[in-house]
Amino acid sequence: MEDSLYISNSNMKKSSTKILICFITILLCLYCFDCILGYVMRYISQRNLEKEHCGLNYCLNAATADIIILGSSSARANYIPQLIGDSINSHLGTKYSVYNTGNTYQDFPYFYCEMKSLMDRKIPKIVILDLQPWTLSGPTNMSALKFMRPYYNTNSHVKEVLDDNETFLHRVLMNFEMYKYNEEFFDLLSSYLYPTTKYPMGFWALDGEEKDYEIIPENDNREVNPLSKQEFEKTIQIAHNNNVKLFVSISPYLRYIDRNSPAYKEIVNMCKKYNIPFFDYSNDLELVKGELFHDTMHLNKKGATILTKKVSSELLKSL
Amino acid sequence: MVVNSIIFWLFFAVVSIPYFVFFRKSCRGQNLWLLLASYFFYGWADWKMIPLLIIITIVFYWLGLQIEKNNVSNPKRASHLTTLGVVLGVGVLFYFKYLGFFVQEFAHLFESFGLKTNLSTFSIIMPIGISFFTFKLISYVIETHRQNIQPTKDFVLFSTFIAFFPTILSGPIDRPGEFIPQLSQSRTFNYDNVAEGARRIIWGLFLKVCIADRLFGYTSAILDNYTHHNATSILIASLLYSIEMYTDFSGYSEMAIGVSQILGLKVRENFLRPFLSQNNSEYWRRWHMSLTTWITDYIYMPLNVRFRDYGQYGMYLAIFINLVVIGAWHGANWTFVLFGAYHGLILVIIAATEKRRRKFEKKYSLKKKAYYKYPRMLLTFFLVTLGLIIFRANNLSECFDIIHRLTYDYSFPFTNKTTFVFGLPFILLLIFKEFKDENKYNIHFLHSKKLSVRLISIFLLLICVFLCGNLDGGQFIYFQF
Repeated sequence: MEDSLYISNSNMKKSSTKILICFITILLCLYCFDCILGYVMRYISQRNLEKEHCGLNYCLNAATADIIILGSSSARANYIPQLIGDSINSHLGTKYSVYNTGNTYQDFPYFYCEMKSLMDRKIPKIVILDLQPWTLSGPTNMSALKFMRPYYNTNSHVKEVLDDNETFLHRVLMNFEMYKYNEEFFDLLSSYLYPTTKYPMGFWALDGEEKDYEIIPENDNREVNPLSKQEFEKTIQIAHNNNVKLFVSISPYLRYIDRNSPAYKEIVNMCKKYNIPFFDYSNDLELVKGELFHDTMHLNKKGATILTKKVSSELLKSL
Repeated sequence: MVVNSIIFWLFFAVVSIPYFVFFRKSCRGQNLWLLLASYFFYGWADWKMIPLLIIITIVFYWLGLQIEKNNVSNPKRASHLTTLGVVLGVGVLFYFKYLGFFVQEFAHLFESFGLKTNLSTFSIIMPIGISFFTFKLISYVIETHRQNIQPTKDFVLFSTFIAFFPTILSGPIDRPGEFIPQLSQSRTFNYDNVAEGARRIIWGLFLKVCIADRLFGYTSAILDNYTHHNATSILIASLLYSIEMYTDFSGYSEMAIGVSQILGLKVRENFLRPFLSQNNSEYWRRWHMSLTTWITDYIYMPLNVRFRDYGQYGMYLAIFINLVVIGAWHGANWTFVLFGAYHGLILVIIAATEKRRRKFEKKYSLKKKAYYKYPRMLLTFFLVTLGLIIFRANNLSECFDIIHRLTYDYSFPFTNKTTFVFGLPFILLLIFKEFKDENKYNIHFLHSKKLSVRLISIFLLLICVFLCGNLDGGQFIYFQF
């Protein structure tokens, strides 16, 4: 009995040592890979800074423009920077540059990082904030924050936002490059290897038409999310404190937007309270047509041209 | 606490260190520690249901002992007690899983006749993992009655078998005859077990985060909003959903088997490359094997014996009922019943044509011919996919609507960069591995004879998981069942 126990103990010791060696070897290899990945990705990010099409990296670290469009993918597809710039510059005799920073799923934490990062380099004259009628209801889209993880160590505003919004565990994991660049490495790498000029000034032209559609009422009865309201106010304050002229705009959608929803009313109230020009194209009959939409949420290029012209003329009235 | 979360791995480390260090000499100590860990794990998921789990464990423990006591001296009483056990197990399952559904169906029926009911708010919270642990309990009393096992007198051991944390939420469904004897011996820390367990965990993690969670974004975007998408997108999403379902569930099973193996316990295999099956009958022998063998042993076999007077038709009926039960086991929805009936019908056709098919295959020596084998594999995959469309739909009308939409508008599909960039290469890797394993080629990355190759394979898989996997992924699909 004692013999077998001795054998068992000795086997266990051998097994533990072997397992421990394998475990440490794999951990060391992973650590080395992680360091190399971080180095390569930082190099690529740096090289990509000159490229406008490079989305978030360009917005956070290089973009400088006099007129900035902030918003989600709707903003990116609906506002043509070139048209806004031409319209304003020809009427006012200025040489304002315009950049569309719209990005998929993005929300106030993202707008905050973009505005602050832009202002660190150059304070814009005008900011057009494209909001969805339901932006202030429902939770903040936390999964969208992962787009910003690669810039955690290089951008103090991103660090601030991620530290505020992510859990302790995520903050620990942020020390690993593989976690930070998870999924995002592909965009950085592909725009480095295959640069494209498809997206001038951040605008993504969409084609196609939405044929099979039905305009259904969008009833959003959810209460206003206090956190989103606070973030909205924070964005307004930043603009006011820096003498930036802020405009709030609501894009059209292929659905009927309920203007009595608490979230919509709150946007209107906030704009009134802070004296912000507010343009609402959500139920604009000239725009809410299938042939002007790529899908129910995004205008095609033809639709974007009409909307941008409307926005530009409104901007000129307010300037 | 899902098995692909960091919290689980911290919990597992806390469980396994004392398990091998302090309790290695005591089987009872190990079992008690495992039981406490299992209740903690279950309580983390749903602490309100722990009393139910404990009470039902006590009742079945007592039933097991009583059945054994009466098996020889009073067989009639033993038989009654077994029936009581089965009725109790099925009753608990029915109450928590199906009663709410039937009540609402009756309410709808009454309302369609103009009678008002007040049952629209009737709802029962289903304990997580109930479909899995009730099946373990039922098999325990049946096996005891059949005298295939000796019921254990050790309550801690029995409770550990029922609540064993790697398998309680989503299986595999262990059999008492295989699992209880393992719990009767103390388990030592063993290199082979730990290494093999770790390999299976990493492979399972890869299947879950690199394939299943990557495909989820696309399949849910299309199938949850199928009215906005064309037939091409729905078809691609449906085909990918089959792969998502497989990798999600087999990923979980691999991790559960791996965790158990590290703890020195062997649990049942659940999958054997089901998409390489050449017909649906073979598919069901390779898919969710712990459930299908359970239902075959305890439902199909007795039914087959009962219906034997009806000859072949009796067998067909037994097959059909068997598959309907498998379908209905998944939940209280007519779609699951239809899913079972659909597969049942296919299996009946296969059984009815088997003799002629074999004769034909023999005559032309077709069995191993690639031009015969691979199209059959593809056909089986398409038939399984069609079944999963029924399975995934929220109700019957949605299911028929999706199938109807598959018949027209094959224009350019909706694309999702992350799904196709990160998901498809790994699907190809999975297909390669499945064929390699099926044909027993002599290349085994994770099981190579060389330690260096094994370590490099693990290292590469971990890089895929951390760099390309969906680290913010969600729950396992089978948790809802």
